[in-house]
Amino acid sequence: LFQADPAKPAAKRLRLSRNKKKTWRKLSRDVDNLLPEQTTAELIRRRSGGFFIDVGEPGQRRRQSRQQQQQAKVEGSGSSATSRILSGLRCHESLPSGAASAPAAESKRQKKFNSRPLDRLVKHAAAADQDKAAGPQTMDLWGSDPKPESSADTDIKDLVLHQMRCTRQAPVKRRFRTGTSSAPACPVPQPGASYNPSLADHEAMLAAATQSELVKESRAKRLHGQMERHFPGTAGAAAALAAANDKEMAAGLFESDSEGEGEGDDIVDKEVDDSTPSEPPPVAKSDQPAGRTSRKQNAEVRRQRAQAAELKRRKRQSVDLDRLTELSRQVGRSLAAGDRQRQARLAKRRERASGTKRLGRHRFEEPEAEFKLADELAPSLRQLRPEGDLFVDAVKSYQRRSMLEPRSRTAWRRKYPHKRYRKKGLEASADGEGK
Amino acid sequence: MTKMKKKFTRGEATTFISRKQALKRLQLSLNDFRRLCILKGVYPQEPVNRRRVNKGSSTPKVYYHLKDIQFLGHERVMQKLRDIKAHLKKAKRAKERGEMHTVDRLQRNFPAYTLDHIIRERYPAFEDAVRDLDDCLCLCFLFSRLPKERGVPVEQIRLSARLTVQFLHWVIAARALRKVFVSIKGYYFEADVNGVSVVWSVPHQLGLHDPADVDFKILRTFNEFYTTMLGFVNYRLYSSLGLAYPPALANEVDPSDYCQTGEAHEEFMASLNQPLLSRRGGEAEGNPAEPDDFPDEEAEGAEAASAARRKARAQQRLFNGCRFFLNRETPRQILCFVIRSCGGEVSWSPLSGPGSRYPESDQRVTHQIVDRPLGDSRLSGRAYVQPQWVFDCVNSGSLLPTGDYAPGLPPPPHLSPFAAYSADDADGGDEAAQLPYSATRSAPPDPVELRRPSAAAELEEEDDDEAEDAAKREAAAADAAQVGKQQKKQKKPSVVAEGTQRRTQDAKQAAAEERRLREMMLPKKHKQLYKKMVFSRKRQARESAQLAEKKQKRQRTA
Repeated sequence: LFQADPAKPAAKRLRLSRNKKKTWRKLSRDVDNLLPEQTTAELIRRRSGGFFIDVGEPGQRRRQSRQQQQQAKVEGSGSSATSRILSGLRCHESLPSGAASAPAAESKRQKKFNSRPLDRLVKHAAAADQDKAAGPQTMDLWGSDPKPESSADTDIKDLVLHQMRCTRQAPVKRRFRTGTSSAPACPVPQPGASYNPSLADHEAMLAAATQSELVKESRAKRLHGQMERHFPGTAGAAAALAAANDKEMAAGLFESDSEGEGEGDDIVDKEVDDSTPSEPPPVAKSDQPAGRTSRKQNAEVRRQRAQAAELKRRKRQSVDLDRLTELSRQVGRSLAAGDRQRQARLAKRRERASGTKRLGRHRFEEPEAEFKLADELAPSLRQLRPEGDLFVDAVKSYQRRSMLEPRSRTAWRRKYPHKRYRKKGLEASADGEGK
Repeated sequence: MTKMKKKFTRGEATTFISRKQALKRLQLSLNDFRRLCILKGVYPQEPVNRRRVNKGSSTPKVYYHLKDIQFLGHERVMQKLRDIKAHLKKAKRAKERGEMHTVDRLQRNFPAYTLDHIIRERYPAFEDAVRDLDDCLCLCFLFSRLPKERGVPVEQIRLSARLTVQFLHWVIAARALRKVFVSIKGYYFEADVNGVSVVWSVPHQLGLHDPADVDFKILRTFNEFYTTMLGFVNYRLYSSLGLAYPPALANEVDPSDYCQTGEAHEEFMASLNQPLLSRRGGEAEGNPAEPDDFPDEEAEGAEAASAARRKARAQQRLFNGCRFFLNRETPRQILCFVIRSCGGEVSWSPLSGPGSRYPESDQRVTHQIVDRPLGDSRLSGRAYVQPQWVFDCVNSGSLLPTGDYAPGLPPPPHLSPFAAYSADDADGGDEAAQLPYSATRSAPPDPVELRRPSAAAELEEEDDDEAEDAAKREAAAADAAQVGKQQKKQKKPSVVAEGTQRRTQDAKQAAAEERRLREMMLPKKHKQLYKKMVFSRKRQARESAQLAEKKQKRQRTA
């Protein structure tokens, strides 16, 4: 795994897993094998006299192996005390090169961070700005240079540096899924909603409002009809109940009702003759004959059917040859239909992408357009009474662009007061005690 | 033997994460999670197949992209939110124990966070921020009008008010206002900010309703983000005009009649009637950005673009030399903003509020805006008009006759500049083409514009540009032929020699035949696109022909 002799540089890079416990165990096992008499800690303690200040080996240039260089890179070139100590330990002659420093393997992100060409610049920036407090920046967020800026021209380094300063982390790449909704952020109302609209505009607006009302009415009517169909009489349940109530209350009040009662007593049953048993129903004869004859017959039938089919096919072929133009037209029509379906599918997909998304339980409902009737129109701006609420407009606009999901108020749940009671057994004992 | 594939271990099931799972992963409360999502711009997604994502069940859940949630996890503000939660817990405990000194200490050291890096990350360039300015302005204007009792912190309301006033000042200085629409819901403005049209709404002065189904906590978080963003945007806009930021008033003001000295700056800024200090000191000259002139442009878009530029220039100088006086009953701030954005000067009675420049009796006043029936007390040398005159002038780009807008008379209808009325609009738009509300939501009905994204999606990836160009060429050719036909129809019967008529007819027929031939030669996948383009153009042409007919009929009877 690793070289006991630090003079000989390691031939292979030490592959350490992310599982620090296992790695450490493995290494410590090997270390123990090599140094049976003294533990590493004892060694350090004896050498350093209890504590040590790392000043490095005086007068000796350290020839760092590739592995050591990598580790130095990971820990940062001398920027933290821990790494300095570890690098000192590493160079101790009795210690194996990998023992004391078993660094946590680099996370993927750190590896990426370190391997980017931007790495050095960013690190310098981080080091320089580490002591500066990341307070509120200047008002000039986008740079005061008059150079023409566009998203494409943004200086990546600048952005990265800024990110680094604020968050002290390498920037995480993000795929911006900005809304592809084509709806405008501030939808302007229709011309008829002007405070002093023209006749045509106003009428158009009222017509649209009437249409939506008619649609609502038709839906209610349809629902009513469906209810009637499945549960007849329930739709007019209230009226029927009232009528039944009236009838019950008025029973016996009028003379005409009482006359028909006497006839209802005799119910003449039809004479039923039980003497002769009825004939059983006729048995249905199956078409299939049974036995050897049936198999022969079946074969014959099959042969005939096959012949007929073959004849039919040949006939159809000849007919088809004559109908070639007609067939080609049919094919064209079916292709066109397929084309249309494809267009419809694509259009639907586009609409879906650009329209309001279905998020959560509730569907987004377009708000009803506000309108003023002809007699409500204000004669002047001073006398105008506003309709509608721009806060609701704003929320609806966010919902339409799928930035917020539509929510409804939760129903108010009644809270009942807690009742206190005592178990029967406890009650009796308490009374007993009390007495 | 290959490994058995397990269901729901790859694909959509692993790219989406439900909200509950996200909360668990980030260890945040629902409120904090919502706040973080709003601040970072992480929105819920709709997977194509909900069953696959939810492992067979179709319960409605809110889903997010897993990578978005992972991205949220690296945000410093998240830790700050947790710190705030811990802080509040301590404060509550101290308060209930009666340790008021602890409470004071905690209040003094309340953890704070900044959103600068989030704004920089969400809008890497200034243009990106300008594209999102609609939302920002709408919400900030709404919050600036909120009363104190709504449960929103007063500081937030005041900050929104200050920032919106600063933005209005910039629009005035840049003369960037292009459209105004007074609707029953509120005022809708459109301004040209660095070439991008920004639309925002301002509520009417009269009372706010109390909407039951509006979650103010969420709107507060949006407002928090947007106020920060608007501050930076304002700085950039002000520095582009050479104005000092934070803005300072160029002249000394005397607040004695209106407010305390501390509030003077805010009050006089809000009056929108004071010039601002430039960066170099001294009054800002207010150089409105003149739109550039590009003489070499494609024939198709050049006319519309140049017309727009001309109108913009006219709007910028519209009220040059006009002096206005606003009566008490008029919406003062709105009118002051609109008039000054077009180069006019405004004043009002000193009793109405701070910022009045000259009295009512000033001889140089050219227009007085009144909104109630006037008696005989009229001064000579000025026109008395209703407020709608100002808005209609701005929308049309020219000074309309003031006689129509005299006080007491019902003014002409106030048309919406956002709706696409047809060209023959001279008689106040009675015959104007009506567009339903849905049309204002989607892109304007320009056939080429409408078809371009669909063209890109419909056609295969390889022949994208080719198809588009081919189809456009065909459509343009067809269009030219059609326009020619239309012109021919609408031309008055002039005395033309028979020979020339026949020649033109032959030429027309030849052109039509050539077009038909080219149509037949179109490849199949382009044919659909071409047919759609032709259809929509024909429909538009038919509609405008109908309207022209109607107009002619009316003119004949009138």
